[in-house]
Order: sequence, then structure tokens, then C-alpha cells
Amino acid sequence: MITLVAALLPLLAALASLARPLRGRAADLLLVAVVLDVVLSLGGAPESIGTARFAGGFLVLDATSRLFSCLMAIVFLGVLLFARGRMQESPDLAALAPRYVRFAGAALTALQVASLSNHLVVTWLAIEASTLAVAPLIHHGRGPAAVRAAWRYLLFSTVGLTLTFLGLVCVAHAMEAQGGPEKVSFFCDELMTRGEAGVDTWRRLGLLFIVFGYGAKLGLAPMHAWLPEAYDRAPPSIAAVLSAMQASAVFCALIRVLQAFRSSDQDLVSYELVAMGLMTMAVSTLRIVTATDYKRLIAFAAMTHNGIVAIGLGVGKGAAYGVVLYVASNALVKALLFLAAGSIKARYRTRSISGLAGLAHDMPLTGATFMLGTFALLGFAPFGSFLGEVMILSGLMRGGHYAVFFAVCVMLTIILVSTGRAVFPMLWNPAKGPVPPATGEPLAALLPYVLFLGLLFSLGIFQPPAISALIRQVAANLAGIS
Amino acid sequence: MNALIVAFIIVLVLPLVGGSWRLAVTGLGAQTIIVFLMMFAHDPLPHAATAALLGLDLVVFRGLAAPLLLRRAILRAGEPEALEVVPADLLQWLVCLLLIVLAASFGQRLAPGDAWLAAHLGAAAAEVLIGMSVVAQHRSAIGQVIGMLMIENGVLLFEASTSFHWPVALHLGLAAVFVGLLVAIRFYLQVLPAPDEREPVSEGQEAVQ
Repeated sequence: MITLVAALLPLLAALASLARPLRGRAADLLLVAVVLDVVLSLGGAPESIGTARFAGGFLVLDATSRLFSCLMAIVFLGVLLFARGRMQESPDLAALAPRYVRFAGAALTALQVASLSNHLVVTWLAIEASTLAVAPLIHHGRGPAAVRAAWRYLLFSTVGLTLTFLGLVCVAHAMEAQGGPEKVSFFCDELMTRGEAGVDTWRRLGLLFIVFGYGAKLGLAPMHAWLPEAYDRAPPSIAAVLSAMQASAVFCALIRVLQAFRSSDQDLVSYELVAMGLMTMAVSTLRIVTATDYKRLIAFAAMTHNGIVAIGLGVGKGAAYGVVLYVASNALVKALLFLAAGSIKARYRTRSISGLAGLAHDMPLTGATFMLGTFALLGFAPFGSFLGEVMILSGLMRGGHYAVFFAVCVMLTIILVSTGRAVFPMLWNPAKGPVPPATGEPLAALLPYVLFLGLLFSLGIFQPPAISALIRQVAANLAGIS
Repeated sequence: MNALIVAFIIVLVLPLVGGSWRLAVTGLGAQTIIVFLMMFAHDPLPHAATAALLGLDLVVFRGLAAPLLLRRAILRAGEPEALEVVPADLLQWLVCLLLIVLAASFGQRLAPGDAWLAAHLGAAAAEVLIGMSVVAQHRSAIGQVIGMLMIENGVLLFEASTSFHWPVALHLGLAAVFVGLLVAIRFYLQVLPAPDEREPVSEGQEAVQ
């Protein structure tokens, strides 16, 4: 129950900020709520990894929900520290703070409820609610292009989620055909123990739609058109929320679906996930090669990550640990890079890769963070993303998916070369023209870098035993070992 | 039930050939009211609370409020009366016909022994497929909203083919999310720039938060 209270705290802070006397302190109020959320979420995590249903069985506290709700709370803490720092620097942004707090608080609660959900329809509802809360933040304080990006995000997300809902209706049809309306249940734990057997056209059709719809929400091809535009046009903190938190919530939903229907339909879902993952990687690789805008480059890299995770989920048992580690690590990498890109954009007022040089000298801390983030993005050791990527690739080999392994390796190599060619001149080349006078890098903006980099190193080099046990348990659940 | 399926197919097809957004929006509302009536054609009948929620969701929100809200937003945006849901060109019509044939064969495959159930499922599939095609074809937000609501209605029609009803708490959540979506659609129809409008603010002036 404490976990539910923790998840509700950001929403309560958002509601409290509607009161006139608290409007001026809206960001502080949300920060206090998020710190409490992190403390309460982490407080529950290291204990025994049992399973406890609550809220009428609609929510559950197990390894998967613990991992993802902690991850979201921590990422949002970093995001909010960054946003609050920016609000303190700019009176225009400070004036918009209450609006930001209202929608961001609601989004965090919705995403945490999605990760805590034990019911496929509640998960769907929470993800849809988070979409409605995040859309207005994409054009928060921005121009018509951002409004258009927010609309496309809402349109694609709604269509994708409607298809997911259609999938749930098809699955309900299958259950009803087997035993009447009483047999229809979307509680994940019940579905796992029930173990539907045999080939059922309605159920398989439903699963195809569920995975395709959630794939659209993740920006997997062919429903990827919204992603680069939304990530690019959104303020950096919101791009971080979209790429790190919302994507993690959708992966959590997919993990639940795979757990529930693994025994009956693993083959079908595997093909769909691997096909969507490969298509996504192909599209993002081509766009990374031709990228001229560093924020878009990160957006396409985020697409690549989603593609790799989809492939890993498709492979199943052999790559389960790698997938969970990769999702957790990359949530931190994407948040880190979008925030660093935001600091760079705030200083240089450009998104162009060719317009930037000498970052390492001019903004040493942000430059170093951007460099380390890029290393993590490209899957270098010693970050958790390296370990995750290697384990997914080894899962492909062990599963005998040699063609997929080869295709992924080729695309990752192209991405490595293209990203390196784009990013390293930004960092090391001498500045091309007059540089705006340095104003110093605010501490509030640096705190999230330290937080995210520390966690990334920790995931790669030394995982605290409690976190390691949590990741292992989620992987075991995904692989169907426990 | 059979008469309702025929009525649904009529209100599905009319807006496609009508060439007016008013007809399209009214047709969307009429479809959800027909689906509401279909929900009562099964055994067992829904409980009183479920029936009331169905009425609130399908008749009040989707059948009446959504078309009215869309109508107001479109009038405020000063859109021209004419709107071809399926653009009048041979290729688009061929695609539309192909989708209908595909949907009909899908219905027959899933319910081979029951012509009316096959028609029901075929109509639902056609609505979803044409809705997706409409979303993809239109650059204007209004056309995209109509496509999006067509997909929603198609899913509702699929739902009406089962006798299962969502628990009250979930149904309330589903209705609340739909109302939230309507509010968002209304907002974006007001603030969205025309598809060809250029960005007046330079990228350097964007807020970084």
C-alpha cells in the first residue's frame, strides 16, 4: 500500500499546486513529492522479492513493478532537478512552472501505476492517461512546430493504444468462447497460472494487435513517424520523460503480456517483435547516418534502443537478463543525453551538429557528460548498456538467430561510426567562431548528470546485491523460470 | 440485432460518400448509439449499473458530446463544409474497396457458420481498416480525428460481438480516458497551425526546460 501512496504523491502535489498560495512553489512541492516517492519506492525494493497484490488485486508489488517504479521515480527526480534549475534561471519558464508541474506530476503517477498494474486493462488505461498528460508538455512554452509534434504524438499514440485495446477485446472474445463471460479475466497472475493451451485464432489475433499497438507507442516501425519529431521538439526534460520513463512503462506492459501468454503464443509474438525491431533499427540507422541535428540524433538512437529491446524480447529466455539490464541502463542513458543536449542548446541556441565545436573546453562538465553518455549510448564498457547489449547478442547466437545477429551487428557498427563522426567533432574540434560568453554551469543542472552517470557505472561495474537480485528476478519472470 | 448491423453498415458507408464533415461527424455519433443498442441484444443483459455506464459512455459521451464538440471546434476553426473522408480519386477508392473486401473475408473466416456474425465482424474490421487509411491519408487534423474515431468505433463494434462487459470501475476509467481524449482533441483543433504554416519562431528562441 505504501507503494501506491508513493505513486500517488506526484499527482497529489500536482493537485495541490492548483491552490493559489502554492502556485509559486509548485516545482518545490513536486520535488518534495518525488523525493518522498523515490525514498518510499527504494525502501520497498531491497526487501524480499515476494509478490503482494493490493487495491483489489488490480495492482501488484513484485520484482517487475518494484524495478520499474523505482527506475521511473529516480529518472523523474533527475529530470525535475534539471527542469527546476532551468526555471530558476529563466523568469519565462518560472511563470510556466505550475502548468509543467500539473501535467508532469500526473504523468509520473500514471506511469508508476502502469508499472504496478496486475491487470492488462488497468495498464492500458494508465499508459493512455500518461499520454494525455505528456502531450501538452511537448509544446510547453514552444511554437507551432512543437504543437504539431505534440498532435502527431497524440494521434499515433491513440491509434496505437486503440489497436492494443482491440487486441484485448479479441483476447476477451477467445476467453469467452472457451468458457463464457465468467472466464474473461485480465489479471496477469491469473493468466500466467491459467496457461492457455492450443492454437486459438482470436487469442493470437489479439496478441498481434496488443504487441503492434504497444510497438506504436514505443515508436517501432512502421508506426515510428511521431518519435523523432516529438523527441526533437519537446523540451529536453520532456524528451527524457518520453524516452526513458514512458518507454520503460510500455516495456513493462509488454513484459507482463509476454509473461501471461508465453506458454501458448511465444512463437507468434517472437516473430512480430523481431520483425518490428529489425525494421526500426534499419530506419533509425539510415537516419543516424544522415543526421544533422544532435537532438534528432539522440532521438534516432532512442529508436534503435527500442528496436534492440524488441528483438531481445522476441528472442525470449536466452536474452531475458540482457533485455532487463538494457532497458534499465538505457532509460538512464537517454535521460542523461537529452538533459545534456538541453544544456548545450540553452548555451549555443542551435541544434545543428556542424554549428558546434569545442564543447569539451567551453562546457567541460556538460561536454564530459555528453561524451560519457555517447559512450554508454554506443554500448561501450563499463556501462550497463554494454553488458545488456552483449547479452542480447549472445542470446541471438544461442537461439540460432544468426541472420538477425548479423543484421544487428552490421547496423550497430554503422551507428557507432556515424555517431562518433557526428559527436566527437562537437566535443573536441576547435570552436569555429565567436562563442557566447560563459555563464557557468548551474549546480542544479549538474546533479542529474552525477545521479545518472553514477547509476550507469554501477549497473555496469558493481550492482548492489538488492538491485542485482531484482534484475535477476525480473529476467527470471520474463524467461518463465519462476 | 440483424437490423442493427444493417443500420451500422449504412451509417458507416454514408459518410464515406457524403463529402461533408457534418455527415461524417453525425455518422460517428450514430454508430456509437447503434453499438449501444447492440450491447442489449445478448444474453445475459448487462446489470443496471453497467447499462447506465454504457448509456453514459456510448450515448452521452461518444454519441452526443463528441460530435457536438467536434462540430463546434470545426466551426471555430473556420473549416470549409466539404470534407471527403475518402478522397475522390480512383486509387483511394480502390484501396477502400480492397479494405472492405479484406474485412468481409476476415469476418467470414472468423465466423464461417454464421452469416450475421460474419457481417458484424466484417463491418467492425472494415471500420478499423478504413479508419486507419483515413488517418494516414489526411493532412488536416479534422480528417485525422475522424479516422481516429472511426477506429474507436470499430473496436466498440468488435466489443459488441461478445456478451462480456467490463467491470464498473474499469468502464468508468475507459469513459474518463475517452473524455480526456475529447478535451485534448478539442484543444488541438483550436491551436494546431495549418499543415503548410511555417514555424515563425527561430529554433534559438525555444524554451529549454
